[in-house]
Amino acid sequence: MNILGISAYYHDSAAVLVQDGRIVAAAQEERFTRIKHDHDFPLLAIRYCLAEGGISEGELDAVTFYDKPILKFARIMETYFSTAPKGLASFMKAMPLWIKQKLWIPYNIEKGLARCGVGSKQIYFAEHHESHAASSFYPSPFEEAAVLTMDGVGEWATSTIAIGRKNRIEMVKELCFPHSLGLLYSAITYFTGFRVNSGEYKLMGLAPYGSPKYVDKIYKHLLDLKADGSFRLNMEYFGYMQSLKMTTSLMEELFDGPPRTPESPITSREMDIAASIQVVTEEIVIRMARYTKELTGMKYLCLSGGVALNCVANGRLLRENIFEDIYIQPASGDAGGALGAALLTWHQIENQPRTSNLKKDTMQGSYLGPSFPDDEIGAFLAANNYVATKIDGDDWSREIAKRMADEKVIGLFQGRMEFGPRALGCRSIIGDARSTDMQSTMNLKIKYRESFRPFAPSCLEEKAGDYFDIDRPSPYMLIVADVKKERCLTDSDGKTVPFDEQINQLRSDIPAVTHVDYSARIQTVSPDTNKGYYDIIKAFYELTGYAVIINTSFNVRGEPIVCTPEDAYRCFMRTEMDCLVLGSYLLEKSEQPEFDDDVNWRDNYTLD
Amino acid sequence: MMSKQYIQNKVSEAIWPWQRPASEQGKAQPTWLFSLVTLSIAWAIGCFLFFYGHLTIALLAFCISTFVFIASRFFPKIYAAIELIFQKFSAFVGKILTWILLVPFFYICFSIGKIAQILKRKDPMHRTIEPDTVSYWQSCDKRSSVEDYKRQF
Repeated sequence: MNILGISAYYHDSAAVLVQDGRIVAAAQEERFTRIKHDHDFPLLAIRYCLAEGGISEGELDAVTFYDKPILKFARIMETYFSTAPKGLASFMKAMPLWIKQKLWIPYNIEKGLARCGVGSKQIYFAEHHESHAASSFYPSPFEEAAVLTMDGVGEWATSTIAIGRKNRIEMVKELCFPHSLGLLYSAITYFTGFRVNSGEYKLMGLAPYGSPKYVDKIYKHLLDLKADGSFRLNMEYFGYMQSLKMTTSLMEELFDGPPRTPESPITSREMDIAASIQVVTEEIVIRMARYTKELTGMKYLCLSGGVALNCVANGRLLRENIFEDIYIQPASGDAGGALGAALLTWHQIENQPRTSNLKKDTMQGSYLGPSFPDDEIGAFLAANNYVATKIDGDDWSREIAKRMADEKVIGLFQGRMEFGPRALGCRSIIGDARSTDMQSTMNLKIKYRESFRPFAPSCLEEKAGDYFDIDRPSPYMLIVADVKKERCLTDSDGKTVPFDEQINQLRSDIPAVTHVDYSARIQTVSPDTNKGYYDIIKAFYELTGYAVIINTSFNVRGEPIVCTPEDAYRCFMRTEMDCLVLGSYLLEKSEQPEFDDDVNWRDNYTLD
Repeated sequence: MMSKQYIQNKVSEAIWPWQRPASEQGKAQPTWLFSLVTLSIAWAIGCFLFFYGHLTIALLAFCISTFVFIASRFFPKIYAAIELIFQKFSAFVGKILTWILLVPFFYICFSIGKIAQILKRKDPMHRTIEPDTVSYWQSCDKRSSVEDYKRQF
């Protein structure tokens, strides 16, 4: 049975193909259209999934959309009833889209499928948080588990607690709009001058630079938090119900001034706000998790929804030992909703059994996107007269490792593209984690992004314990843990160090991946899911004695992660990367012909 | 050339048509049928105007439609520019119409709704803080029959 899951029309449109319960293909539309967080109908992602699954006319059994549009529309209408006469600007922005697209989803799906040369026998609609819950429980290694979902908002729910048993998911509790942990975090993201639905990572990365001096004010004024993690927001401080702004002027009084203008210098106030909201978020997540445990009595927890991408909170949740183990869906944002919708159709609607082994999930390392054979890469390179050397066997990983050890920055393009926001070694930029200059170089000369943003380490799974305080695999870069104490250098005797100096401070023997609070967002790499990437790190280890390297996504600021060899080559030539690996081919920047490019290419990308 | 010998697999061809020339990857030229139907409609309007004595406007309709037809068949770049202008113009008209229709709708409909909510003392958003309440969690009344999944609500 072939089931297509779709998420669209909010942000991060995606399509997923499930064949007889197995995830065959999954991709976000942004990777193909090259529009970051593309929210349009995922035509190209569907086209890819159908091609990957070899689906032709008459072979698609069901399409499931990841939320219920009419319920969502009803919520939006109720919101305007509650806020009128305020809310005109928001209404005028939202309504044309609803009238043109969102109210005609079955028609749009049929039209989209027809353009791909197929039709569907049945169209289903799952609830937004049910899709999220399904996306984490069904691929998890657990036979039964509690499921906690937290994001901005779906139809009405903003957080839910569910129980997953074998092939069934039962939704148990929910918190409803406008009281949302995701929207609280997004509101502060907006206030600190970052882009909503995109800059939340930056806020999380900024938090360790500040001190949580606004925590009491947040608890006192912004929300009423109960012992079980449920809360209500004081909507006088939030503008998202009635305007295009996330916060009101009252927030300015609370946080000692107006919102930061995007791209203006970051001050200690923003760092303190970031630190404070991180503390509050973690506290809410911990309380919710405790209540979930109490309510369900389950040993394991599955997490999903945008808030589950807050890896600092995830790390804290692990350390609290509320559950024996937790599983976090790597594509926890709305893109993952497409996966949940498809799996829900197979297990819950079609009542098909599910197997689990307590060891391995069924996400296949999240490598679910397109791959390109060496023959094709070679043909493409030759057709464009790009200079490349083909390297086979063990030499491939050794050559890459050697260049990394020489402090070269390498664009790594190999295997199937990752599904979800993280690059996990198939569409990555990699470098030497021991290098003291690497963080600044990569941020300013390659990614063209803010200098404070940390980089994540990729580490051999069996060696992770040598570098970090972590006792389990973290294959999806969703857990933050401390760098081992013995590897850390002492800090500056409690003196206040200016922001710029803090960024460049030497903090450990792997400085490029050690954040200001001596933590790291870890990816453990195993040969089972990504042999090529594992071999590179292994070769680097054999060469240098270090089993850890830097891994950041293969893109520049505002650009989606590269998808095709052509995207990779373009990004390589636009930045100061030294080498590019395209499958078995190695390209040196110095050997490439002059690249004919649009001088204003950066204008093509909206800064996130 | 190696690229000419290489045949893309179906997956790659679906998402990365690098072997096709850039000109083919762009927007397809309108079909003859589309161009002829468009021309016929414009000429029908022109004839209608001519019949009722609006000679200048009728002539204008004939000229413009013929020009667009010729451009669509023989001068794709000019046709693309015309299409872009029409698109921008229709988007502008659409925006104006949206405002004319939706602004009164917003104030009439939602203001009445708001008054009804105030009179009923109902707040579906539950915006009041309740210090004495132990929990804000609500029970889910989710049904999960196959029929429910077929509905958009």
